[in-house]
Amino acid sequence: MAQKPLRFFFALFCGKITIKLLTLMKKNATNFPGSVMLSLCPDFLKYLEKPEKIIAVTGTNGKTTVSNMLLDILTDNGYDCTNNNFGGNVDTGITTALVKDSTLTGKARKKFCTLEIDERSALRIYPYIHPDFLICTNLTRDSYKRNAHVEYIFNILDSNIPDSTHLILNSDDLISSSLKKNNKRTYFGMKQFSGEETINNIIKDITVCPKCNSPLEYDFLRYNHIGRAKCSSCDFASPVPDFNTCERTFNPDGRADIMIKTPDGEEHYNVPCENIINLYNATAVITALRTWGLTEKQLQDSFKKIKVVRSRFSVYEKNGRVLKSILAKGQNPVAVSHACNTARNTPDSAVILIFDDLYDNKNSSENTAWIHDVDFEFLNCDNIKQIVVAGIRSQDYLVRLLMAGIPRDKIKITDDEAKAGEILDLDGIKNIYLLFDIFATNYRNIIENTLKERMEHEN
Amino acid sequence: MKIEFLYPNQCSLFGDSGNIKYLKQCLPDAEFINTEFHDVPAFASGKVDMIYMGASTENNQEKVIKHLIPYREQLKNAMDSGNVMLFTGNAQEVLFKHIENEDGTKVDGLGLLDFHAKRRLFNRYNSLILAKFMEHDLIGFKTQFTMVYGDNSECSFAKVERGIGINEESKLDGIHVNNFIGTSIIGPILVMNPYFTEYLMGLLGVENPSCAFREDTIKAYNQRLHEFQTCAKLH
Repeated sequence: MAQKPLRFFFALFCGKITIKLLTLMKKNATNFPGSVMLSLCPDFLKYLEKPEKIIAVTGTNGKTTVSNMLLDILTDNGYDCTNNNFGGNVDTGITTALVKDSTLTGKARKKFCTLEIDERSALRIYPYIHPDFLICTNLTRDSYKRNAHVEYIFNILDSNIPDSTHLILNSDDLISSSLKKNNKRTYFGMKQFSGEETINNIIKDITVCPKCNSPLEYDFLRYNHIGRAKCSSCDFASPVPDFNTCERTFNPDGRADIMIKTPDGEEHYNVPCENIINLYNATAVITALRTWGLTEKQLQDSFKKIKVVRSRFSVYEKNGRVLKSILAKGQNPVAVSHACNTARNTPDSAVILIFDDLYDNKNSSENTAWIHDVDFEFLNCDNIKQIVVAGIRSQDYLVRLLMAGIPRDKIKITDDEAKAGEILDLDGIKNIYLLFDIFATNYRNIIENTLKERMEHEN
Repeated sequence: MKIEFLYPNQCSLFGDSGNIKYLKQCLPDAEFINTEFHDVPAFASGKVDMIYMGASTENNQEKVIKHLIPYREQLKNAMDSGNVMLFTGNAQEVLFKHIENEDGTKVDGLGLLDFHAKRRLFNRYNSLILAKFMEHDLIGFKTQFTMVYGDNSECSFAKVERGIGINEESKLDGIHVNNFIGTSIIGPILVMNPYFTEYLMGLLGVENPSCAFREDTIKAYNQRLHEFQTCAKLH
């Protein structure tokens, strides 16, 4: 550890004070204290002492879910971990998280640490923080503005992840599974389940062999470019998973029973997952923590205590109707396509879409090019009787839904998100899907409350 | 009518495939041809009425150049003979003399247009653009790593009112030569600009062109146009 300069101690002191003040004001100390410290000492993380064992999570989709599961299980097994599950997953938030659990001289108070790390922040984090394990859930198309494209993000990760980090990689993702070829690695994957159908999405971020440009041949394609593939000409192929989920049964309580083939044999878990995407997340967590050293029994017992976080998914039933609220990251066509895919599988359904980006629209006009990469075509089916789009961009969504072949008379639009629950016609509707962006939580609550009241009183 | 979509899997990075989806609904009788790396481009083996290409990653951009080198003359003939060509995002750069990397190295382009591009991979430019194309207001978005250099004073696509042209010092966007239109506007430019789409349909020989879902598309366009004219921030 390099000798700590005076500016480090000054920044640390200011950071501690800022965290204390924000806590006293009952505000979340997420990014702000970190930004104060990094502005006073740009290489602050270089001098801050880190916990002994760090497990980190990155990837386009699933980071937060995986981080929450990791922390819950480690905590349940007696590991007291520094973590950034309160929010900030960029350099400022991570700095805050580490300082919260550090002494006044910059020593780590806790031995263990779990971190969710934004992919783009790699170049500001990995030079100073060397995770022992790093899970990369997947790499798919994300916000054009922030993340540009997958290849760009791959290159940032590939050139910044430390050589010493043991990678936990998704063998069904031909992009992220190729990260840091010389690093120690353990792969997780899921075989094609009986009866599982391919989801044929608009976007696939890899379609030709990165070695020879020949078309890829898929043994099975799960969604987007996720699946098992090989090059039609050379030896490039999906890696063989070390931990392979081979059986799954989804239960009515929103959980799933799974069987994973591991290097130690078959293992069985009951996990809080109600869809395939979350099964990948659980499989990643099991792979990482079994590799970390936890036993099958420890994981089994801890998983039983974990519930699906309400802020991301919730279900309400009343008088024969079901309201499901599903969070999907806006400006992320893969996440929103998944949500649309979920909504098409029950009869007599209505879908409410709330995906305007409040930040991009503030004093400007949101770039909605991404909605042309979303599979709104999934909503063009007999099961879905009605679609309500709310927000200032609703006219753009209307055009996109028409392009998806959805009849005009099935679509209602309003500029006012708060009114979405009012204009939905409940007649003949048994299932309501509220698909909302992470920035639309307030509207989600308003719409849910309106619908719950109507579900209680209307037949 | 034949419309060729060059590299739909590789060159549709920012919702660009929405343009082709929309054209299919505007021109339901047209034949659409998808060309990938393992195909001979349709324009090289016979006449097509329109060629479209969208944005790609830097790596794929270089693969496109390699794939098109054997068909350079046919592509030149298509441009010279007035084929309708729309290249959006960084697609037009494959036709330039070269693309310059940050370290000064150069990737040779097809050399059909006397321009070059410079990549700045840690300085991404995001913005909306409001411009005039002929008598129409044109709206769109830019999200790019490159800036374009060269003289487009006599061959620009659109005069910029808000936002930037081919680079941060320019107020002239894109390149318009014969019926070739290259612009760094990304994504569904045709969906967002119904009048421009109808202009292209006219170039393709459609009489009294009327774009798909016209009433709703124009309503969305007018709403955007008002925002673009009045909003405080460009990005």
